[in-house]
Amino acid sequence: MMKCKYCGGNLTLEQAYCPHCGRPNEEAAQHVKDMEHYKSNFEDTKSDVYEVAEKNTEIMSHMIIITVLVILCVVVFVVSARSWSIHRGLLQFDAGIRQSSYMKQMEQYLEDEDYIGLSAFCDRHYIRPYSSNNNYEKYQLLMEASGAYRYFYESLMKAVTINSGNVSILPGLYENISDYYEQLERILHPVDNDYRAKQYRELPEEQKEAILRMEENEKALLQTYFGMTPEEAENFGTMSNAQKILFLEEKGEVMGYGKSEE
Amino acid sequence: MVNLKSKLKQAQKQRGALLVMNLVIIALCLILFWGTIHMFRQLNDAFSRPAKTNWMENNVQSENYAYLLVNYHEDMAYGGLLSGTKKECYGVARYFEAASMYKAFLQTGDTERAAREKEKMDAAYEEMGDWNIAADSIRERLGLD
Repeated sequence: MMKCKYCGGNLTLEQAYCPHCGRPNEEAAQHVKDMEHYKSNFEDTKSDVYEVAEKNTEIMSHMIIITVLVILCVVVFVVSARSWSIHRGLLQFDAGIRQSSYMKQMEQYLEDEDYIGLSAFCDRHYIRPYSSNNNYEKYQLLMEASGAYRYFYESLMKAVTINSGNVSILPGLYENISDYYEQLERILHPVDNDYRAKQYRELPEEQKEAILRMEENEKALLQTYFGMTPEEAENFGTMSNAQKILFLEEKGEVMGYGKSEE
Repeated sequence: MVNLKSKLKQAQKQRGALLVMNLVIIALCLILFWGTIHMFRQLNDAFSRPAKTNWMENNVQSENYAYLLVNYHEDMAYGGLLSGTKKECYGVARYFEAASMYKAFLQTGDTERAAREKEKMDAAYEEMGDWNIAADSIRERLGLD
């Protein structure tokens, strides 16, 4: 409540004129002016705030989209880079679940004397004896031996049937033949402190026989396709790696591997 | 006036930032698209390895029997595909493998195992179909009479 400056009567700010003397209430006019100014400022500020908020929302949504896209890109590239590991992991998991059926299949390969098939099967299904909670440990030496035999046989056959245009790969093949022969020898004649010594002693008979048969096959293949005498094939295992390779090169030369047919 | 100028500058900056962000989004979408295709290719390579039929046929035609054998063993480990041309290629691989071991056992005088390999050769010959012309080539390459 205020007083009229002319007649001293009571006035309120909302009264533009004094109800007693009828003169204008200047403070009310100023009040109205001030209120309009504040209101205008308020509206301006409000629209500024809405505008800024809208812009910030737009920027925020863009940033969220960019973050999501970056995460997706990282996921896609990690999966691409690790696809083989993912595949191996799934195969190992599968091999863990299907132990009994896989071991049955492995026994069948053993019975059929299909050692190369056995190795390919173990590779395809990523059967490894080293994982925990599996019974494949008892096949460890057999898997190693069949793998060595398989790559020995494949390398030997590649050398035997090589075309003259591919002669450059012959030295590599001879090296492979030597390496894989040696791998099998290490299983059959392990050094005392080698882990294979104990494992070989504990092998079931049919597995021992299978590994011996693989050795026999390797010697037969060396005699047949590298012209070795039985004694040379027998002594082949006692040579060093370098000597084996040289010996194979000499024999391969005599057999004419890699030479063009004239 | 000053307030209006600064507001205009701010608005221009924000528009510029949004434009850059839009370009970044487009670039990321393109990278994601290419990356997804690459990822599926890698996964396809990792998860499906059986040899393609034309690889095997090429190996038979160019008498790369050792490589055919490698394809064959890998295929069989996957379960094999027992139909059409591939089955005939398997026959060629089996014939080659049996013939190579037949010769080896003959050489070392192991007649029992040589006889078993001969049986395998005969069975594989039946599976070779139109590719049975490769039998002569295999015997020649291995030095079998």
